[in-house]
Order: sequence, then structure tokens, then C-alpha cells
Amino acid sequence: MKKILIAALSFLIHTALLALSPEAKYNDAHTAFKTNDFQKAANLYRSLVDEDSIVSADVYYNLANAYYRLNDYPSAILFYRKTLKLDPDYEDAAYNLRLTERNLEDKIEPVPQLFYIRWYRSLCATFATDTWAWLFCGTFFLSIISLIFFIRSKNAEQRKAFFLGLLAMFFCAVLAVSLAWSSYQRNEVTQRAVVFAGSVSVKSSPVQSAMGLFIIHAGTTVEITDELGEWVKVKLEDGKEGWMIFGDLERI
Amino acid sequence: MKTPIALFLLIVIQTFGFSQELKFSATLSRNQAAVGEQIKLTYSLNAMGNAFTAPDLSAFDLLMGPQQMFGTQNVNGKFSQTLSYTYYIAGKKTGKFTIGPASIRVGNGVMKSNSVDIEITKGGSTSASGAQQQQKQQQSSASQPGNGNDLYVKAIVSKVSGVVGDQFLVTYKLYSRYAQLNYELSKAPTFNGFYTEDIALANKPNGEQENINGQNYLTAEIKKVLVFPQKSGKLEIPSIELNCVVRQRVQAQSIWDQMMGGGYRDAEVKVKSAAVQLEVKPHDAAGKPVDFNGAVGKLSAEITLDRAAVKAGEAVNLRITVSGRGNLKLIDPPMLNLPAELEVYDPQVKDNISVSSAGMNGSRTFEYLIIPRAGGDYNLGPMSFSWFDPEARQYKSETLQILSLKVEKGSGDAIVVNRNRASGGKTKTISEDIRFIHTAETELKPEEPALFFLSLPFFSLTAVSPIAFIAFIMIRRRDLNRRQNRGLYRMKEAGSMASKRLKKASELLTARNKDAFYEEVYRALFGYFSDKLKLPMAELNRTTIEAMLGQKNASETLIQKVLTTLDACEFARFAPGASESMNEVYEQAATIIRELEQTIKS
Repeated sequence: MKKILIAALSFLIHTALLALSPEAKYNDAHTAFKTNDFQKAANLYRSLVDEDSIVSADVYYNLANAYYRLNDYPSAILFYRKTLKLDPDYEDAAYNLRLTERNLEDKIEPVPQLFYIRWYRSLCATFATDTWAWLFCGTFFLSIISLIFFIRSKNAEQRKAFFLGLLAMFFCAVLAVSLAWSSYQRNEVTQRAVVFAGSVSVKSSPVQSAMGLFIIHAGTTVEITDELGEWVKVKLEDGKEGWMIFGDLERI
Repeated sequence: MKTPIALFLLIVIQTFGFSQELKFSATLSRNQAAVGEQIKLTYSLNAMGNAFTAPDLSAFDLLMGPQQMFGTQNVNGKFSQTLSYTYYIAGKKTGKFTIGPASIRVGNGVMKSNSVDIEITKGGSTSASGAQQQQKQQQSSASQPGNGNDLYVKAIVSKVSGVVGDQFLVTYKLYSRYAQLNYELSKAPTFNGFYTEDIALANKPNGEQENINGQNYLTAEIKKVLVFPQKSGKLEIPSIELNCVVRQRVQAQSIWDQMMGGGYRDAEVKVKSAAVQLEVKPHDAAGKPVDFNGAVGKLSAEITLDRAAVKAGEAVNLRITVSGRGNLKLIDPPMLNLPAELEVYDPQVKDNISVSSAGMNGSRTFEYLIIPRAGGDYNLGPMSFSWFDPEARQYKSETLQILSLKVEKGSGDAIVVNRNRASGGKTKTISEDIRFIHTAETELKPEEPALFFLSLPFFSLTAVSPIAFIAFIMIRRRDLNRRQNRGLYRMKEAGSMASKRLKKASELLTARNKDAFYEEVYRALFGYFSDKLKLPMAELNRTTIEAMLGQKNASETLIQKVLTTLDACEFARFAPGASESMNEVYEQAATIIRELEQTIKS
């Protein structure tokens, strides 16, 4: 019933908004949001995503904000995460996500990591994957240039300077590429999803009758590590693992 | 008229003479007796009398008597007399009998005794020997009270075997053949391995008559306990100890004793019941339900949910009622198969249990408070409650099929509750809110931008630098190579180059162009040395040539010749006068080159 209603509603909105260009919709959505008509804003932003297939961190972020105002925390979290996936450097999205997660049933404490892993993680999140890739290309190029100059240099002073330059540039290049790789793994390879069902008992095996291991509630973000039919193996930030039905999740 | 006056006189005499009432009474040793049991019938008069007329005792066997006894006593100056007639009789048949009054003449009057009632009950043994035996027993018990069967306490158990958790009624009962029951508990039984429930006693104060093996006993229930064995094996119902006071009839010491209804002695007797063994079996392993948690009895169970639809955060009551006859008070809350998403509180236990001789009856209700925190449809169950029916000797269970509980979203109430819980105790900001939307112009692209990392441009760009580097290295290498090769070539071709120059010089020689000739010879020689010795022109001079040729193992005369020729050329170039030896210089240069070509191979 609910689904039919939503479908009908979205159809109406769709036909109503058909004539609008994405830019016009985007501006209308802003206006709606500013006048506290969050439902309308959410519908408009959502239609940008669904109908016009717009992929934009800003649209995702604004949509998430509209969902937050509508107290639809799982949807808000989904779109904040989508924003951050697209642009890990989107600070407002990260802030709002933290705030939204406070409203959730589950408080999942991440497995404590060693300080350098934490640093590495946060460093990794400062730029998007591509930024790191470009940084790698630049530093790698510079390190090669340094190498050439090092080879060509005639006197000891020059050699020393170029050698240091080479080392620094090369280190930066290695760091940048590894961060790009980590970011790539985290954002592109790792499948993550947000729980949408009110509360789900995560099972020990992909069978309905299996033992329930733990309960997660709507809005919790999980990592999908395996799939088997309609079942997916999920991993929580605190390291817990188990199986649940994919229908209860929404992929980020 | 005579009689009343005589009576009056008698009374006057009595009051003044004896200061006591005339009394003629009949007493029975017992009011109830079995057939054939000896009964003592005594008529006593506290005065002198004669012409005793016995009542009709035809309904009884007269065992002995009448025995006439007379006694006088003087106590504190008071004089008393007792006259008694004693019969020992035994009942012939059952029924209620009244022994009519006896009469006796006292002075001038006739006194009638009271009549006594007796109930003759069915006896176990009616034989004379039985009666004699009893008589003997009575006699022996008189000397040693409490011994044998006259006074004992017994633990009566409703059954002697059962399963763990089954109920057994234990009754401690005192049996006495003495007229009165007078006892106190000296040691209460301590039950090990049992759960016990005392049952309130409703004893008649004087005890009850009970006939055992033809003998009538006065009985009293001392203690009634409902016991529930908690373990299997041979369990012992412990004994009880009582201190009893029995009143014995003894030979009257004096007439006074007899007159005071005496001839009794109080004796204290300790009695102890024998321990009873119970055989307690464990619950059958076969067919034992998983949820069986020790409930035993003739029970029934009911599982109900008070509401089927609630809003999130509202409470629902799940009630499990166990009723019937069984170990209700020992029933633990059953395990529930509830979805873990529901908040379930410990059950409230409500009892409506009565403990009586009929056992433990009633009902026990477990009320579970369930609060669903999040909306959704939940399936409760299947839930079941199982028990063991000791009569049917099998497990029984009540199963509640899946109950569905519909929980509506509680308009974020549950979440609000949570939020409060989460923020408790932390540093408080006045309020926190999400940051505002981004309204700046943005690119609305319908597709996700392709990732640069690991794309073809990325790899090509990455590859550019190493390729550039390799190119650099290769160019450098080729450069060096070429330079090296050029030297080798020039060395090889040095001779021919020099010959070409000399040929030109010979043409100049014939043309007598002196300056140009010397110039050409000089250049031919220098060019030759430059190529041959791999030395740049700038570095060539007399000394370097000399040193290099020395290194290349050129002979001293040859070096000398080279030097002189070079000197001559130089001299001729800058001193225009000398012109005679152009031919000689030419010859010399040609020889030098030829000779050096032979000497310096590489």
C-alpha cells in the first residue's frame, strides 16, 4: 500500500515536473527548502536523481538535508554517504552525517585502530580518489625530472640537491598513489549499504531459520562483503559480521 | 412423706457430718471400644451403702466382677469413705449401648447412678485370646508407657514413588490408646532435597477415634507437609519426635485417690516416627520437550497477548497462565521465542495458589511486558509451555502458534527517547543542527564522471614520465656512443684526411702559394694529431703532442722529426722570407704521417 502510494505520488510529481529543466528543478527545490516545504524539496531533489539521473554531490547533499528535516534518517544517511562517496572532501556532508547518525538506534563503535592507521584514514579522506591520482602523476613526474637533473648534474652540490628532491618527490608519489588506491578501495570497490528495515536480526548463515547474531536498526551503514542469492553478508564497523536479506538494504 | 424427710435429714447429716455431697456415679474406662475389648465399668459411692443392684449388662460379656471395694480415709481431720463396684465387660456386637443406672441403698434412701453410653465398634480380633493379649499389653504398657502400640507417631506418605517435582503429602499422625492426647513437638522434621509447603491443620482438639487392627486409637495429626522432591534417587522423609504426656491408671494408693477419681499417674513419653523412604525417579528422557523446565502435575497452560497492534514505544502484555494441580510455585518463567528486536522485561509473577491436603492447586501467571521500539510486523512464537503429567506418565505441552504483532511507527517517539539517552552526561551544546543546503550553481551532469584513477589517461600520464626518462637515457647513451664512434672513425680516417690535405698542399706547392701551402700542411698535421690522439684542436700544442706521442710509443727520432716539421711550418707561416724548403717540408710531413700511421694503430 505504502509503495503504491509512493509510486503514485512520484508519478504525479514526475508528470508535474516533466517540463522543468534540471536547473529549474534545482532552483525550485532550493526555494521549497528555504520555505520549509521539505517534502516538496525532497521530491524535487529526488526527481533530479531518479528522473534526470543527475550525479552531483550538491544534489545528494541537499536531498539528504531534506530527508533529515523529514526525520527520514535512513534516507538522509544514504544520501550523505552518496555525497561523500562522490566527494570525500565534502565537509558539510560529513558533519551532517555525524549528526544524523546520533539519531540512530545503533551506536556502533568502530574497532579501535592504531594512531597511524587513523591518520592515514583521515588523510585518505581529505581528497577524492582522483585528486590523489593527479597528485601522484604530478609528483611522479617531478621525481623523474629530479632524477634526470640528478644524472645530468656536474658538481656535488647540484647532485645533492637533486637527489634530495628526487627522494622527496618519490616519497610523495608513493604516498599519493597508495592513498589513491585506499580511497579507490574504500569508495569504489567496497560495497556499502544503509539498512532501511526498522530493525533486522542479522543471522549467522543465509537461512531464515538461522540463529540471530545481533540486531541492527534502520540507518546503520554496513559493508557488503559477500552475496548469495537474496542474502548478503554484511560487516559492521565494529567488526561484527552476519547475513541479512538484501531487500532490507539500500546500496550507497 | 417419709422419704423426703429422710432425704432431707440425710442431706443435713451429710452437710454437717461429712460436709460432702452424696455421689453415686458410673464411669467407663472408655466411651468407645471394639467388640471383645475389655471395658472397665465402675460404680462408686462416697458413702456407705448396701443392696447394690447392678444394671442390665446382658448386651456385654461379663469378664470379671463385680469387685467390691471399700475404703476410708482421714485427711486433715476430714473423714471420707468410698465404696466401689467394678465390672470388666466386653462388647458382644457393634452398636451404641446405654448401660442403665445401678441403684444402691444409702441409709434409708436408694440412690441411682447415672447411665453411661458406650459405642461398640467393629473390632479386628474378637477372640478371647486377642482380648487377653490386649489385656496383657495394657498391663505391660502400664508399667512402661509409650512402648509398643499404645502410643506411636507415624509418617504417612500419600505415595512412595514418583518423579522429581511430583507432590507427596506427608502426614505425621500420633496414635494413642490413652484417654487424652497431650503432646509437644520436640524435634521438627528437616527435609533435605525437598521443597516443602506446610498445610494448616484442622484437628479436633480431642483427637479422633480410629480403629486399627481392631483397636481403637485416639489420633491427632501433628504436622501435614506437602513435599516436592527436587532430585531423583532414594529420598528420606525424616522422622518427627514428640514428647507426650500420658495418663495411666494405677492401683489406687489410697481411698482418697480413688475418691478423687485418682489412680492415675502422668508419665512423659518420647515417641519418634520411623523414617520413610521415597523412590524419586528422574524425568523421562524420552520425549522430553526442549522447553520443559520442571513443571510437574495435572496442568494446563494458556498463552495470550493483550493487543495485536500497537504503536512503537507502547507496551504489550504477553501472559502465560499455568493452572491446575502441580508444583506451581516451582515453575520458572518459560523461555520465550520473541524477536530480539523487542524490548522484553522480566516477567511479573502472579500467584493464585492454595496449598491443602488436596495438594498444590491454583494458577501461576507470568506477565511479560514487551515494548517494541521500532515499527514493523513482528512474529511472536511459536511459544510453548511443557509439563510432565505424572498420572498420565507423559509430557504435555501447550503451544501458541505464531502470533503477529503489528507495530506502527510511533511518530519518532522511540527515537526521541533514544536521543535523550544518547546525549545524557555529555557536554551540552545549546542545540545542534545540520548545516544548510548548498545553493550555489553546480554542474548538473546526468552521469557520474568517469574515474581518472586507474583509467587510460591515468596510466598514460603515469607512463609519460618513465618514457621520458627512458628517452633521455637513450638519447644520452646514443650521444655518447656517437661521440665515441666519431673519434674512432676519425682516428681510422686520420691518415686519409691528412693525405687529402697534403694533396691539396702539393697543388699549392706547384702553384708556389707559400702561405696557403704552409697553412695547409700545418692543418694537415694538426688535424691528423687531433684525430689520431683524440684531442680537441684547442688542446693541441707542441708539448701535448710530444707527450701524447711518447705515450703512443713513437720513436724519439720520429717525435723529433714531427716537432721540427711543425716548427718549420710555424716559422714559415709567420716568417715570409724563408721559402727554400717547401718541398722538404712537404716530404717531411708525408713521411711523418706515413710513419705514424704505421706506429699508431689504435
